[in-house]
Amino acid sequence: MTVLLRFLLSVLFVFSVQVWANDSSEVSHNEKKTSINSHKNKQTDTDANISDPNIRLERFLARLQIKQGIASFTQQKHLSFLANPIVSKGILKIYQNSIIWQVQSPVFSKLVIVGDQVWQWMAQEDNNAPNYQVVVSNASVETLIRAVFTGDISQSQWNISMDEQQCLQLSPNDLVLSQAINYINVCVSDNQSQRFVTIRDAQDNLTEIELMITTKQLSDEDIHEFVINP
Amino acid sequence: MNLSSTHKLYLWLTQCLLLALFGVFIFIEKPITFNANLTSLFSVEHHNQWQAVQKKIDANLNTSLLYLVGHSQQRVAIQAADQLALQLKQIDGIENVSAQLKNIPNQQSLIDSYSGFEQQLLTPAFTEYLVQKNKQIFDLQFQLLNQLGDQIVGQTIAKDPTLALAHYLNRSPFPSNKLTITSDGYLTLNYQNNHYVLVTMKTAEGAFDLKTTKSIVSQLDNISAPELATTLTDTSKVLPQDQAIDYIRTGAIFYSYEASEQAQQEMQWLGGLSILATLLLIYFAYRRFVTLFCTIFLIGISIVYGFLGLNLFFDEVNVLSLVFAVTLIGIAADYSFHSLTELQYVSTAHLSPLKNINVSLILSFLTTALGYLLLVVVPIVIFKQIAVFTIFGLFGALITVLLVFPYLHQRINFASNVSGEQDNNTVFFRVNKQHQAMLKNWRGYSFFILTLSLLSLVILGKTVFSDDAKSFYQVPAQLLETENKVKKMLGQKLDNQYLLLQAETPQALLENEEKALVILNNLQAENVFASYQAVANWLPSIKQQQRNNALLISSKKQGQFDKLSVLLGNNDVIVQPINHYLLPSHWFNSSIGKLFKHLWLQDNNNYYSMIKFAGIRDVNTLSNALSVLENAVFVDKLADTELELGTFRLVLAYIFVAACLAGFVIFYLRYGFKKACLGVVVPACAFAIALAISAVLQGNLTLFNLAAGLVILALGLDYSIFYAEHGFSILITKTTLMSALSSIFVFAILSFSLTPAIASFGQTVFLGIVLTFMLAPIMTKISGKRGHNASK
Repeated sequence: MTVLLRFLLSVLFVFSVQVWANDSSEVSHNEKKTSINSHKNKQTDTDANISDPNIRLERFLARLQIKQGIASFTQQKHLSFLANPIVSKGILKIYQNSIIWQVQSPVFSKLVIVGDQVWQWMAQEDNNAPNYQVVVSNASVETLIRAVFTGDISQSQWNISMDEQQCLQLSPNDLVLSQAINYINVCVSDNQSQRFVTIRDAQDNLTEIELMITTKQLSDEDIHEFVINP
Repeated sequence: MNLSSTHKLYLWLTQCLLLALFGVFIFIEKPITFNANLTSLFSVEHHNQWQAVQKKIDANLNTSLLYLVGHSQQRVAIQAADQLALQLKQIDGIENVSAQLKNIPNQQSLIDSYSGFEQQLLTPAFTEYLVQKNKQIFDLQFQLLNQLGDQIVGQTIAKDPTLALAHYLNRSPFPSNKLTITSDGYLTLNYQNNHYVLVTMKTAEGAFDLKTTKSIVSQLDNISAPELATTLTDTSKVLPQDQAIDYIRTGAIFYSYEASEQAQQEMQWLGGLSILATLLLIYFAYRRFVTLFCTIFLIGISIVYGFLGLNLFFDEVNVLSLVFAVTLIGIAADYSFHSLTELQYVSTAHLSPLKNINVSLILSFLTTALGYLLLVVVPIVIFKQIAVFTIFGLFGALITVLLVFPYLHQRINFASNVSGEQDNNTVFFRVNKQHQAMLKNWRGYSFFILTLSLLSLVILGKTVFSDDAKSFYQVPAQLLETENKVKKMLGQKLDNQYLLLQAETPQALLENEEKALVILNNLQAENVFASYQAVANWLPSIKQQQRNNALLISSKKQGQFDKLSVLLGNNDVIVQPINHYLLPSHWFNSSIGKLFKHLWLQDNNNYYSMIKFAGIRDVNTLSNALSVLENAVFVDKLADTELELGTFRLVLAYIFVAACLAGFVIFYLRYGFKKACLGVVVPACAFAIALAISAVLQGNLTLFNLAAGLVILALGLDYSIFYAEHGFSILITKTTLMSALSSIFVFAILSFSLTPAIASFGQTVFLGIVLTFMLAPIMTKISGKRGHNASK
């Protein structure tokens, strides 16, 4: 369901761009590449000193706040009725609270989340201006997107847990989402530009997504893509 | 026939008795109710095939009522919502209270809704991919298989390996909103760090009745305040002391309640002040308490007659019409003034003491009644109610004056306590002197007024007329604020406009909808609107189901599903031929069908369906594009009302001209051409000038400013009749001044109403009467068939 999809997109991007949230730290972007481990250790040490798990979580979520960026992804979908997984590749873009999930191969598709609506790119016969249609709008996802970007995930809607490996597990309390998802697991590698996301759905199908952050700056052209002018 | 005053009294008492019996009969058979339903107040009544079903739709919208119960902790908010629901269920007039959904629609139940009909359902996009040569259906199928978080493909692929059903269900049947459903079925939302639980209900039929509205709202007020707080004492551990439960409520009933409260207050204040002013005027003029009692009696009788008229013609009367009806006090009192002034100077032995003014009184009633009668032509219920109330009221006043006052004259001394010397110092004397001065240079004054009228016409030519029904009544800012806040919180985007379709059978109706959907899908692609809700979008007609299945079978034969077959491990993609159809009777009982039930209506032997829109960006294009559909009407109530009010505004202008002509004919027959011209021109000029002043003061004009014209004309003609019949004298100055002042008081007081429609009506009539009264004596300067002329 696209409801679920919107949630997943937002979560994916949040974790894919977590590194950008550390802009305010003293370490520059280049420096981060060389000192990721020490940075992470420092961060873990700081968090470990906080006994209250809620405060730890709050701090973690606060770091998720981002403004803009692009990540490439590879998705493997293990469906129970298929012998082989479906593999696809694409890019994820974020600008303020808006998200673009664009599958580039093997078949092009594009979803844009702007405000509280999800727009699907529709193929145009004349290849002129892109045409978008609203596919779904659901408050739980909207709330979540906002919550994630503000670092305020409602614990009444989601069960949230974190492990020592900086992996975050989310399981939905929301009825609509819980009918679709069992859990979502998001891990951050040593190299913070990589994120691994695992989604186990209600039918026990598994989706694995690997994200690689490519830039934290959007060009004017990229930003223009978020302008849905229906 | 010359009846004695006693016989006249008996005649009056007999008709009173008959009317009282008739009134009791009506009261028992068909008791009138008073409502405060603002939404229907200025709406225009039609009598066509759509009217009944539109009324049903409106009634359904108007009876909806909701509460949002909020707290920082969701558990507390849910508990408070449960408590609220329990108490709401105890209130008479509130029904269908729901805080918790019992049958929560889920993905599996949506899939089950189409069980057995899987391969006869296609979305327009899926069809497009199958029929257009430049598109590959596999692209769409891959998108579905690869969609992040998709569940439908896995659950439907066994029944429909073409994935047509998966694509069909990969849409949200829910209107756009910000609500989430908790695992135990509560609809919740987050707003400004609070959790809110939605509690919905409906007000029972007839809840707009004044008493019921008041009773329901006062009971709701009691719930919100202390009762709930005490019931929540068991949650004191989790309920912080400094945080109260937040209750936000909205619904048409609250608007009606506020409107009725305001109307009742205005009736009391405006009516009370009008009566007080009239009584002071009488006492000032006659210095006799008996004249006060006679006038109060006359006003009382006229009000009784007014209500009798309303009972005869209406089942339901809007409370705002009664505020307008306060004007009756001023006009009915006129009859009292005319007769009391006459009776002061007539001997008690006189058999017909009102003989001299009988004709004037009857003519006066006829012109006033005619003016109000013309208001009935305007098909807006409030005008009809005002007209009926006033005409019946004035008739009651007239027959009371003619039949009862002669008897009273024999029993009571009406002679003024004011001595002749005092009389010369009274306002009447001074006004008479002013009139005399004006009459000495009446040509100059006439020229000045004509010039002023022309200038007024120029101003009116540049004046904007407002036909926005919402601007006619004042809605408390707090209610509007709350409504907007609730809309924002819920994220509701559904527009008020809808397409209403009609057919004789459910299948014909679905086919009609499908024709509409072709247009709507194109308009949606052109961004004329964001989305729509339609039954046919989720329930194809039998013919469409046949076409869909045939297309899937032919596509399979053409090998369009071969690529998918390979991806699925060379499993054959089977398409079963159709053997039975999904029908409305079955579908509306399914979990998805229940969500659309409110869009499907039946009236007599016809079926109706609504298509609702969200995010309309170009309502004109939408309306025009849909106008080609047969058996369909695009309903935009606000715009339709505005358009029709605009038309009636013009109709009212024509009615005014017709009334002027009617007045002219009556005057021509009795007083001749010149007096007829002046009799009509004076109130017409007064109206033009009053309108122009109102336009300058208000910034725009409305239907109600124009409606004032008929009252100005009616009262202006009255003054002219008295001058034409009796000539210029201090006695007539006194009578007309009393008459004008009583009306002026009432209409001036009315202009202070908080309801803009009433205020603008009162203001224009007030200005118009002042002007007509000032100019009316000119009538005596014009030579004619009858009456007395002042010395030239």
